[in-house]
Amino acid sequence: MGFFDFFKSKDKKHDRKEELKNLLREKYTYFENLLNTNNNVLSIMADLEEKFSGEYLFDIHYLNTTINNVSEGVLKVIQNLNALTDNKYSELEKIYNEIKEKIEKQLSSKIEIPTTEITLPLEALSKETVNIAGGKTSNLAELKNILGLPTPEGFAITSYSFIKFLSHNNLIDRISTIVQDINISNIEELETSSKKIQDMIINSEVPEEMVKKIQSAYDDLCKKIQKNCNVSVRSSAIHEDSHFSFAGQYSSFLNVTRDSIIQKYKEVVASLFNPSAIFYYKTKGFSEKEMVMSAGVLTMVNARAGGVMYSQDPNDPESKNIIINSVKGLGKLVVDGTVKPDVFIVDKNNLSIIEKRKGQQSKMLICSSREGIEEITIGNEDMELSLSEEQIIKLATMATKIEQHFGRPQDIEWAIDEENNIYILQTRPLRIKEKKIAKVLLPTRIKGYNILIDKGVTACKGVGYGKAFILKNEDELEQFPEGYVLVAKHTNPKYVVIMNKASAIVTDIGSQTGHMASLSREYNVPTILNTESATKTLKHGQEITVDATNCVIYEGKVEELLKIAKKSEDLFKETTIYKTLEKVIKLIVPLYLVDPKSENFKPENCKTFHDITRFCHEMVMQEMFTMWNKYDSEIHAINLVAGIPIGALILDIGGGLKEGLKRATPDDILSIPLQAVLRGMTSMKWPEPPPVDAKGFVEMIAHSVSIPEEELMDIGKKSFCIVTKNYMNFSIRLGYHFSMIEAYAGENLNDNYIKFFFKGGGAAIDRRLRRVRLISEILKKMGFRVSTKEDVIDAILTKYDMSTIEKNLEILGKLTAYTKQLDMALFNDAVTQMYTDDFINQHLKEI
Amino acid sequence: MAEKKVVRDIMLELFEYPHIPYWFSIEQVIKVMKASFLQAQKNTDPLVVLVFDEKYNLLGTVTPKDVLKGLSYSNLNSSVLSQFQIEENTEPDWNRIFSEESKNLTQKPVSEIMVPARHFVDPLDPITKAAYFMLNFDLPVLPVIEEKKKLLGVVRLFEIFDIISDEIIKK
Repeated sequence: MGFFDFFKSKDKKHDRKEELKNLLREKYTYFENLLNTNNNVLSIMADLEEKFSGEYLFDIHYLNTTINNVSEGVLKVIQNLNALTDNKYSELEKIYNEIKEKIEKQLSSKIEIPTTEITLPLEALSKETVNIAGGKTSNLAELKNILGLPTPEGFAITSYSFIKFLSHNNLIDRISTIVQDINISNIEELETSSKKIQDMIINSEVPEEMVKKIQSAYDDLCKKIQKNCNVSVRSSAIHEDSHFSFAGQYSSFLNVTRDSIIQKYKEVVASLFNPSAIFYYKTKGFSEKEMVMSAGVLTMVNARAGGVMYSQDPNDPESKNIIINSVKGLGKLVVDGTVKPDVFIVDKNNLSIIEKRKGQQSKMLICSSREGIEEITIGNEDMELSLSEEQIIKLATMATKIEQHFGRPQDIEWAIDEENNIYILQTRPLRIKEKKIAKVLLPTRIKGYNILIDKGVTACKGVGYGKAFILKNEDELEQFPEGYVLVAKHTNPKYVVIMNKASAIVTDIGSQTGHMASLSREYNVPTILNTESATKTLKHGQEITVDATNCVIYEGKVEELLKIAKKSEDLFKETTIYKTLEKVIKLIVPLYLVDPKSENFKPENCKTFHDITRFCHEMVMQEMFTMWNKYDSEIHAINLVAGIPIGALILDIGGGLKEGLKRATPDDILSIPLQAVLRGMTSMKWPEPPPVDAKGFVEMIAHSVSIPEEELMDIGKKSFCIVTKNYMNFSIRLGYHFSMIEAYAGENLNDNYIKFFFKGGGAAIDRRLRRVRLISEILKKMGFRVSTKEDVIDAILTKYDMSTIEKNLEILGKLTAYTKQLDMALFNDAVTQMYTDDFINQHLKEI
Repeated sequence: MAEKKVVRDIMLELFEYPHIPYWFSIEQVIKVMKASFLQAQKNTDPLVVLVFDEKYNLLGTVTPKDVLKGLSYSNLNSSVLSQFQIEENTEPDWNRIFSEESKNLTQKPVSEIMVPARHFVDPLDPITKAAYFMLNFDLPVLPVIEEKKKLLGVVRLFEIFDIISDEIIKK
């Protein structure tokens, strides 16, 4: 080789080294990207679940954006795993696409307006026909047809007619464009646009066919009641009288003649686009496509009295009272609030009248003789109540019946005609703004109770009471009794098996965005994490009350808290948007792949996005553990000189070592995990060379017994460690055994983990197995998830904060030194136990 | 006359006895002995622990006697009794044999108190040769090595006694 060839060859070697380093760096970047994205996805999922609690309002924009973010994140997780493993898990993308498609289908499912007749009689409708006849008319039909309550006769001008009417005038797209462009923060613009749309509607022509059908339906109505009548034309939008009640935002017209029905219908339709309704739709995140108005045409009840009743007192829901507000004449005045109505309070339990309060009514509304309504003055001397006792009881009875039928308190409009017949005109859920108040009302500390723990983070809000069940190891889950509070050292998705039995869960350590926290929310088990000391402070069998909202644990049973926590009215849960979330969250959040050791832990069993991320996270740890063997990386590593009898090479691929070293001492190491392991290793007493007088004999007697030649060859091999600032993969060859410690220690505890692998030994199999038992027992004590097969140990510890990870790595460093050829000494089980106890006593006290 | 028995016929497996690496402390050996011989209720005669290096070469043996010797005052050398005795004809202060110093000694490696394995027999050697080594060097067990290379097992006095005494009685 010539002088210049020497440099060329040196250059080549250098290039190859750089190439390899770059490749490894690239692979490591995929790993870090996966961890970051996975965390991001988990926190978005946690946010979705928080919204799913029903305590927060959100709109369709939130839902679309959030789900889009989750989808993109999950895809990135998959892509990073595949980039790292040369597409080993390519089938995941297919599974991902299937789930994504299902989610998109749920999100895009706009309201479907079925093709129906132009009009449909009340008899053909029920509460299930909201998309056909709108909320108000459908609810009324339910009362008439299912409950048999007296209501006016009538028919609906259907949603389909609405579409037909707008299409006929080419209004759908024009309205869409205007609505989409409205900037709702500009009131003036909102009003102008609203006026523009309303004018377009009012000035449009109702198709001839529709006119005929509507008039014909009116004629049929008259025939049915055997007289010509005026009608009320009432708004009945699709979302009206659901929990986005839109109450009072639309127009209804009373005492309308046959000839005016079409005009009033157009005005009802136009009211769908009044400024407040548009504002409401847009701020609640509805799409303008969901703005659909059908109308109810009902025989006019010429009321001698009318009003509104609540099947429950909205201001005092505990009282079980029915409140009836009543005026003489049409009930509209009650709604408008322009007079002080008579108030009647009825006890719901026994339907007895508790109170009759005379109002102040100086005027009343009556139907004009030809059309419309008019206001007349009545004298103040009229002291007579608007309702008789009999009528009050009858109304209250109906209110109870309606509430029972709909399963929640109702806001009911009624009227009594001149023949004293009662009619129910409309019913909708009563809005009780209790939820927000209840949240505030949950006191942060209850006086007179002993507070045992006052620390932690909420994973799932709520209050739970029961006896503490201090979990020492996973096997004890089988004995977990109904109604107990699970108290565990760390979080573990496996605890799902007791979530239907647990009244609360408390852990020393854990993350809100972790898998178990997500399961807690899914099962709605009040859960506090990160209490730091629950397993030590609480006693097994001790009665406790867990306030997971405020992260306080009390001794004994705190009735006050349990009572408050029980009240949970979930009005928002009835909304369309919430229901959409309910459908899509099922495809995102639940975790079916709980146990990585199970044979079902496969891509094809991923049912949700969460399953996919869980699978990828587990796989990326496995892949990182073994990946480095594939590359010829050892030749580019430098020697570690640490005063321990382990010859080790280190390869830094990003911030793990100081720059430009030829060999590394412990001071040169920047890698957090490696620093920790070395701290442990160097703190132990390592063997000194054997005494000289024994050595002569060594020459004569070579190795004994059961060690295969190839393993003897391996003894000479060096240990190898790949590092970055936060990562370490350390293959340790020590005596006849091989172990590997891999760890990630960063700021986000979801990322952090330690994997430990151990195999081999020089002694006979029974002693090797004893060492495996010893190591397993110590690892379990440290909180590792351990699986063993013959003399192989595979263990993992996840989701601890950085300092705990470091502490555990230090212990692993000690354990490595401690167990060096310990198998030799494990003569029987008693010796094994002695060594196990010794190590635990000496080195595990602080964790 | 029946064929003479050889060492292989009375050899015991290595794993009949506890093993330890040479860098273990005396304290660790004590614990191993207690757990192996006392707690396990399996009395392996003789009470000996085999000491190996990291390549599983036999370096020596250690018995409870070696341990106590190693922990005793100045290893009970010849002048020890005179040091304990203040005056002639008085009883020595026996308590001083094992004192505070013994505690410190427990942290020494076992290699310092073990009896190094310097003598061995071949599996085909006559039993009498084994008897000679054991008696002459007061060994608890004697390693058996094949072709001067591979450690196969050990022999102990009990079997040697059995066979040799039989022969003698017969005669």
